[in-house]
Amino acid sequence: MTKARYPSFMTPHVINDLLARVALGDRVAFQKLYAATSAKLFGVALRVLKNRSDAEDCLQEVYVKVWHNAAKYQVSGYSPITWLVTIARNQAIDRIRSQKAGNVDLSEADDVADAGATPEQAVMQGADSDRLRQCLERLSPGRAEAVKACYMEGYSYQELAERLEQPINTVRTWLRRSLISLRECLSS
Amino acid sequence: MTLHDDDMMLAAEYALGVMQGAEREAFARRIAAEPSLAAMVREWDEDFVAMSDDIAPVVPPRHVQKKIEDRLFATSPAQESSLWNSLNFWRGLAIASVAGVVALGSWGLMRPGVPLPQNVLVAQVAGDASAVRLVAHYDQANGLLRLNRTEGAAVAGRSLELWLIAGTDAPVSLGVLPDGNTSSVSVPASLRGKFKDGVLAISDEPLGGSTTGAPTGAVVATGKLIDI
Repeated sequence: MTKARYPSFMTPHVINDLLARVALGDRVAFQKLYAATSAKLFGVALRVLKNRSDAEDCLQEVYVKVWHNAAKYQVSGYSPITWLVTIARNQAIDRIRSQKAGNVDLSEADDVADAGATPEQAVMQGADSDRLRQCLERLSPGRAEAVKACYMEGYSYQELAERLEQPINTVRTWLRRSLISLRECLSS
Repeated sequence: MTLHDDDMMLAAEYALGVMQGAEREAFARRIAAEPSLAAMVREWDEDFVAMSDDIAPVVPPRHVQKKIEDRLFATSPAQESSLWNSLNFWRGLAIASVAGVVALGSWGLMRPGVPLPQNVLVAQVAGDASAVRLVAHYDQANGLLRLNRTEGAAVAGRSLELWLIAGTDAPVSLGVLPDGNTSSVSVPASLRGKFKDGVLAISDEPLGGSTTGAPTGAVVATGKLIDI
């Protein structure tokens, strides 16, 4: 399965150049970067936080970090899209970890994945998703789903254990085995 | 498990997000201090990011961008004070207050939150046949040209030299690009008027730059300065 990941008007090169301009303090580039990437990063934050107000605050923190750290991006070795998505996920996870666990409001969670993206926001597709998908498929189905749920929803070991109704050490053991299998498959 | 394997596993747990509490915080501090560990986390991040393809984008409300810009670019107290004392500001305010009812209603929709700086030119300097690529940001107000190289470097024993080409004038050297990514050039007053509609070019030169005052090697990248 192949998706058109990068529309020609917004390639990783373009995001790369925008980040390089942002590193020079170019506010127009910052606005363009926001226009191209904010819907994806807001989607990522919403998915973890499941609350619009929290996700909006999180998005603010994310772009403040992007502005201040754009120069560090260049020497980080990250691809531009991974760098942005990772900042958003880590910010959202740090935020939810600092809140009290178990306060998910499902009525708000329901409206998380509705609004569509405009063409210029449809840019943020990760690379190599086929390779990861193939390696996940080699895990037993329940375990692949657990890895995906942890990534998408930002579950901690504690939350995953509660959802699966298994002891945390058991969950940790088999998730670690799954991660070892994944690494072997991804490196082969 | 060896130490390396153990770190690779912890990197996976951190990147996946399952690590929590003090362990996560402690690991984040280690990442900042240990480049090899940061590289392991990066490897996982690059692999895991494919899962984000399945996360639907959601357009954030417009006020979020305004808040970000307010936080980053709102005037400092000193600038506010000079704005406060500015005749133009008060004239502008008098005009604005006439349209106050309209402005008030649409205030929340206005972007950006803070006016953009004026007089900035940017260029994306790249070439078809070379890997050298840089972005340039020129502030016409103070003559400061800032450069950020995103790709490429000089060949061993050679230098990359930056030139300004204004209209039909001969190229004028702006200096040799240093090894680091970012650099800045304080443009001489005599050249400052020539940046608008000018072209920046990078040539391959002997170590230390051209000795003739003109490009001697191949021009490897060019880019037009554009008013933003």
